[in-house]
Amino acid sequence: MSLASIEDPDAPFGVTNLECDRIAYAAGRGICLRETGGLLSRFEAVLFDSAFRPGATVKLDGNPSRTRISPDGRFGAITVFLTGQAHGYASASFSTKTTLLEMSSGTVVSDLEQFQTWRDGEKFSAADFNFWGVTFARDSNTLYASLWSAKKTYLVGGDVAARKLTVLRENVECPSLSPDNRRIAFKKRVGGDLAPWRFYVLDLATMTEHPLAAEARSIDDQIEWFDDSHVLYGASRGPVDAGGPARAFLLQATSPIVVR
Amino acid sequence: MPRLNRTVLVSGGLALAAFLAIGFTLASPGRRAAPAPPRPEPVAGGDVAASGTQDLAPTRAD
Repeated sequence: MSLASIEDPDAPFGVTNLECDRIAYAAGRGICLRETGGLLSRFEAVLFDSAFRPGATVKLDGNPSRTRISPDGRFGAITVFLTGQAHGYASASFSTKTTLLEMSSGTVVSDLEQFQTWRDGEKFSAADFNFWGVTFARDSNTLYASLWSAKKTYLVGGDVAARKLTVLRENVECPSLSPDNRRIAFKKRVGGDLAPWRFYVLDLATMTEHPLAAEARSIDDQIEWFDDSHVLYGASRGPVDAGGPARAFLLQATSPIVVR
Repeated sequence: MPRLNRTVLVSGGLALAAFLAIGFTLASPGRRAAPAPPRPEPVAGGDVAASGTQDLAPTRAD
């Protein structure tokens, strides 16, 4: 895990001793998801502080995929693939597990599948539920996530204290709430298996959505908001200038998290 | 202790064939004038090559 200056990414930046596949950080608390060594693949989440000192370690049941921390640092969310990692979210069959942690202790609070889900005013439940890609609101009690069931994906809004999720919209994956909590950037499935997604932005006040003009490629990442009008995401090497106003921000990097 | 404010944490390495991209989501008044950035202090390990972002022309998302 490394760090770079927001205003001057060209400046030399620090490298920590933590080796992570995915990272989350907020309010002085961080999550580092990684594979541990050994003959068999094992995965863990290491919680760390603002000095990058490792603390509690949480064993994971699968390959790390997404992680976020509530803005106040109270809750963390981790999504892993239980099966279907090879083709990721584009696969016709995969299974995910999304857990919430109490960041102060590393204690698992709940699995999103233990929440009661509602759709159109009625309880909604199915054996094929998969949740992934949590994003937290400023109050830390409100979250958004993706739900998959019966070949459809949904945006769900959640109340952590009430253990309740409500279906808000179809065709939303990997939601990411803007710092002002007004918009959600997400992946929308618009194509076939070779290029399934396009980044979109949803205005929560009007529930209207727009494609992100800056990036026309199909990219599998949970967007990180740079500020209220720019987004960061990982991409494979290739020209970004041809298709829109997106620019390379930092080379050889993935899983960006802005320290606010 | 490294100064973390106004920084981006990333997973990365020289062998990683990837980069971070930055793009506008909506029309924007442009990049605001920023104060002199705090320079993060290297903590352990060596420098990692980086490239800078460029000014972006304001563009509507649709």
